[in-house]
Amino acid sequence: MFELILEGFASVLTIKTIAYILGGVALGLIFGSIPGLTATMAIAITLPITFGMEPIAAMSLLMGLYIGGVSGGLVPAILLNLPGTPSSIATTFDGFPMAKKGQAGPAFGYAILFSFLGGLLSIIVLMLLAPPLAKLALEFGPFEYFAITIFALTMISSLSGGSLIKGLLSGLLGIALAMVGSAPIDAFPRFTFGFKDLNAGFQLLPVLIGLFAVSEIIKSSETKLKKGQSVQYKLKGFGFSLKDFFKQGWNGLRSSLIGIGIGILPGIGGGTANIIAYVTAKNQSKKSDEFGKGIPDGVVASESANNAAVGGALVPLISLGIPGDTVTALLLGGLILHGLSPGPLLIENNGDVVYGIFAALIIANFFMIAMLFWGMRIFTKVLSIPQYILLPIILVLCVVGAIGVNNRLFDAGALLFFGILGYAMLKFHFPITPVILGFILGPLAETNLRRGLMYSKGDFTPFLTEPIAAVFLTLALLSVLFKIRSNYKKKRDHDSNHTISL
Amino acid sequence: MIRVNKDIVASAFLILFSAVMYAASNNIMKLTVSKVGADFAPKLVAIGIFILSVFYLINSIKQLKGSNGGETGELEQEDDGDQKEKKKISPLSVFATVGLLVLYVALLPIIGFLITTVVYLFAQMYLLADKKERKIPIFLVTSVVTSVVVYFIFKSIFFLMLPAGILG
Repeated sequence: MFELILEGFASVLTIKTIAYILGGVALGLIFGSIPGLTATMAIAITLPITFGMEPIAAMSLLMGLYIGGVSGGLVPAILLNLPGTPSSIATTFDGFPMAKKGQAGPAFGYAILFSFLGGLLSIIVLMLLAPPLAKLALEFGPFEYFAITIFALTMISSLSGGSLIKGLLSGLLGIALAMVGSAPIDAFPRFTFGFKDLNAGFQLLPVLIGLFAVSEIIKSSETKLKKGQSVQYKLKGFGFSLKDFFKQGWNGLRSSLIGIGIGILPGIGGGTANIIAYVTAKNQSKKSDEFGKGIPDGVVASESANNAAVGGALVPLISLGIPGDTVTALLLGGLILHGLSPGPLLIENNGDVVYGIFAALIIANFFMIAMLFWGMRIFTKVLSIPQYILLPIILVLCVVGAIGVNNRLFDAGALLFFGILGYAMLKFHFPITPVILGFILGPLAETNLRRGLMYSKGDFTPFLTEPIAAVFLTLALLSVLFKIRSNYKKKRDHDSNHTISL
Repeated sequence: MIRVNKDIVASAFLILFSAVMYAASNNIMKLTVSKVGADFAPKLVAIGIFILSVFYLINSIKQLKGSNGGETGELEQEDDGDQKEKKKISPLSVFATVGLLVLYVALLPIIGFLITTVVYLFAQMYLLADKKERKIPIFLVTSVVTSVVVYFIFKSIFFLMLPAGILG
């Protein structure tokens, strides 16, 4: 394994690839630090650019974007009390009060260093966990695979939104959208209504960009946009001593582990991890009443957890080919674009790419810490670019990207359709992530269901009697029951004291 | 109150959607030998959407009736968010943006990437910006520069043919 990692580094350590990683991290940090732009958007508009690249170079660029996109959110969170991405929400709780007290320097120091450490720890866990998991998954047949995809789908649907029914409906809608086009296995056309353009189905990229980026741009037109915020800030050193660092050691480690664990679970990622880690740190701390008033512990918890979620989220993607959130869904799209088939065989067939990804992640993590320290002035400058100029440009890039997939204009129309659908879903308070995961996992589940039924000659019982399949289907059922119970409890608590509990 | 009505609209739409989906599934070709063909999963999903939408509808109606008394926590929370949003929302601006997007995508193949993109960018920036922020010269220059740069980068570096239209 050690040799494979070395080989991974060797394949990434070319001037070109390093430049891609550097560019990816920089662009990711810019997208992350501008509120309203996310890592998902950055990857969505960059994917089409990677068409012509070698798989390893392309994936390296995307990894840089991922790390940068998650980390950039801390800049406006601390300076402006605005989370740049959902992953940095909890950073504002203590980061901004620290900055107001004149401690912006230490706040950045803690945030950047623990982002780096959390990320590094999670990448190590990823490298240790993904290969054996993939080996285990090689034994899986269609019954097990069907059960795992169903498990992932129900987890995503029940975890990603407030309402279980809406989450599940979103997931089913995604599966339904994926059914347009040729059916798996026998390739009969479905729901094409005679349109030739629909025979190949909807492409992943227009669906993703439409639902996530275009819908946000339509939403931003609800209000008139003002000019950007201008802040001047220069960073000098970490701003805290070695002793202070060791005081945060346990907090950082615990928050990183929370981040990794939550990252591995399908459906939730950095956006949830930073809040859970923050709440845990607060509950476990002796100084819990100082949280929210500007205590470094809060910043450490939030920032180590959100970066740790990156490595966690990549575990199921690399070992099973199952994405857990929107960014990994895009990365899955990236793998497919480059002719790699995601799944447990990925490590065996394309080990060079996988270990290249690991190496790229580590290098990107180092670039991230360096750029945030020395480039802070640039990222605070970026905040002053007004959104009314940025958003239209991003939209044009989305359209170009959608056309670029297959070089057909039909995809631009599809992009628009999904943008409007995404906006409608936002307005009706439906979560969007389950649609994407349904769109990706639905065909996988159907293929394995039908393949399994061919094996068993039309008998459904193996899905329930094969032990691993049974375990995952039970877990899927439990996740739904758990959600129903917690909703019921919330309602009962509410009825008894009429306060909104978070 | 408006929110609850929205829920009823959404659930009614989904019930209709599932019915159409189920009906359309009957037209899918299948091999006669296998019981589980290409139409099996679509029907299953349609039934699933139908059942959940009915639950959703029942819940929404219940909440509509109960909204005179106490509301559930979830609803109140969502309402809070809505009210905050509602302060400055202008539906006209949303329609205008969607209209611009439709026009942009429709005219792209006819007029060509360069001209359509310049016009779209300028119009969209003008629409999004606050009245005090409308700096026509900056918008104009950014639109032209972006359009030209994107066109040539994609054409000569990534070999992506963008529609040239009347200029081609």
